[in-house]
Amino acid sequence: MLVHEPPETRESLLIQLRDAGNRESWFEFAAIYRPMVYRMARRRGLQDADAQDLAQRVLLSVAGSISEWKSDSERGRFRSWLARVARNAIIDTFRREKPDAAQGGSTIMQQLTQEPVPADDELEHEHRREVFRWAAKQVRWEFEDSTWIAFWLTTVKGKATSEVAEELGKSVGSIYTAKSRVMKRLQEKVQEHS
Amino acid sequence: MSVDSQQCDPTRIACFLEGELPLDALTELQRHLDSCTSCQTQLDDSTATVAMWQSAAESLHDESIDMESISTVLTRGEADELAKHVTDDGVRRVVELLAPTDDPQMLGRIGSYEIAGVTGSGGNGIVLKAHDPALNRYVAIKVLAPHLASSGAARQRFAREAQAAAAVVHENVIAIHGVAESQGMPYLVMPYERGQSLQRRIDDNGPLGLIEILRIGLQMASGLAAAHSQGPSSQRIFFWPTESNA
Ligand SMILES: [Zn+2]
Repeated sequence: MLVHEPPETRESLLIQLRDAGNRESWFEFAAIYRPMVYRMARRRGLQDADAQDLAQRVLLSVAGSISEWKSDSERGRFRSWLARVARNAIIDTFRREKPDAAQGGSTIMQQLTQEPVPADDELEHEHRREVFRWAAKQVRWEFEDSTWIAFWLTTVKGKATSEVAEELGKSVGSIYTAKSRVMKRLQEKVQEHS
Repeated sequence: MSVDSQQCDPTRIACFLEGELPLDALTELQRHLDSCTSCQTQLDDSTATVAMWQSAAESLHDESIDMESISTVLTRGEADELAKHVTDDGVRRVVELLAPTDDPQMLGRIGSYEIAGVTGSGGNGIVLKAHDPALNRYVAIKVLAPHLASSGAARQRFAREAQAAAAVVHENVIAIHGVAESQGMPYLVMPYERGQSLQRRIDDNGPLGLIEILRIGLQMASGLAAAHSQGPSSQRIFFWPTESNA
C-alpha cells in the first residue's frame, strides 16, 4: 500500500519553504535521499512498492519537521539541518519497518548479513554514492553524447581505453581528454554539494 | 607532424584542465596521448585522485535496481509523436503577451521573471528560458499554448498536469517551483536544465540513435511509473531525459 503525500502536506511545505534557496535545497535533498533510502530498503529485501513507500515516509517525516527549522538561523545551514533530521528519520523508519521486512520476502541470508537499522557509515557511504549519481545527472547535458559515453565506458564500465576508442571510432588520446573533462566537472559538482 | 606532439609537457596538461588549451594545441595533446603512457597517467592523476576515480566508478556502476521493473521501450514513431511542435504562431503570440522589460537583452517579462528566449514548444505549451532576478538564476517557464488558453478544459488539464508533476518527485519528472498566471496565461516555473529539448536534438542532430531512443524510452517509462504510483490523476507529466546509461 502506497502512502500518498497529502496535498495539504505539500502545500504547507511550500509555504514553510518561502525562501526559494531553501526550496531549492529541499528538491535537491529529495532527489538524493529518496533513491538512497529506496536502495537501502531494497537491499534489506523489501519489494519495489514497499521500498518506495518507505522512502516516501522518510521524506514526509523530514517534511513534517520543517516547521521546527528556525528561518532566522544562518543561511545555507538548511541543508545540513535536513541531513541531520533525515538521519534520525531513516533510522527511525527502518527500526519500525523491521517486522514487516521479514514478512516482505527478505531471505535469511539478507537478514543475517544486513543490519536492519542502518549505521552511520552505511548512511555516509550511501549518501556519497547518491550525490555522485545526482551530480552525474546534473552535468550530463553539458557534454556531447560521445564525450559522456567515452567517460562512462572507461571509468564506470571499466573498459580498456583502446577498446573504447575502437568502439567509438575515436583516437585513444581523445578518449583520455574526454573522460578527464567529464571527471573534472563531475568532481566539481560533487564538491559543490558537500 | 610537429615536434610538440612528441614531447611531454606538463604545462600543456595543466592548461587543458583549466580549459585554456586552444584547439590546435588540444589536437596535439590528444595525438601525444595516443601513445605516451606517462602523460596518460599524469592526466588521470591531475584530473582527480585515484580515490575519486574509484568513487565515481563505484557510485555510478550499479544501475540494476533502477531498471529492474521497467520493460517498456519507445519506438521511433512514438518518439517523433512525443516531439511534435505546436505552430510557431503560438510562440509569437506568447511573446506578444509578455510584459515590457527595461532590459534590452530580454524579450519581456512574466511576473518578476525576465524572459531570455524560447527553448521549445510542444504538447500543450511553450517553454521559455527565464531569469529569476531575486535568485540570479535561470528557470524554465512553461506557458499554456495561447490557442488552448481560452478553453476551460485545457486550463484545467494544465493545472492538473502541474499538480500531478508537483506531487511526483522523481528524477525524470521535472520538479515544479511554482504555478501562477500572468496576462491570462497560466504558467509553471521549473528548474532550468541545460539540456536540449527532444525536438531540438532531432532538429540539430538528425534521427535519434538507438541508444538515445532506448535511453529516453526508459526514462519515460520510469517517470510514468512514478507518476502512476501517485494516483490516476497524473495524466500528463513532463519528461526530461537525464544521463546516458550507454
Ligand atoms: Zn608524454
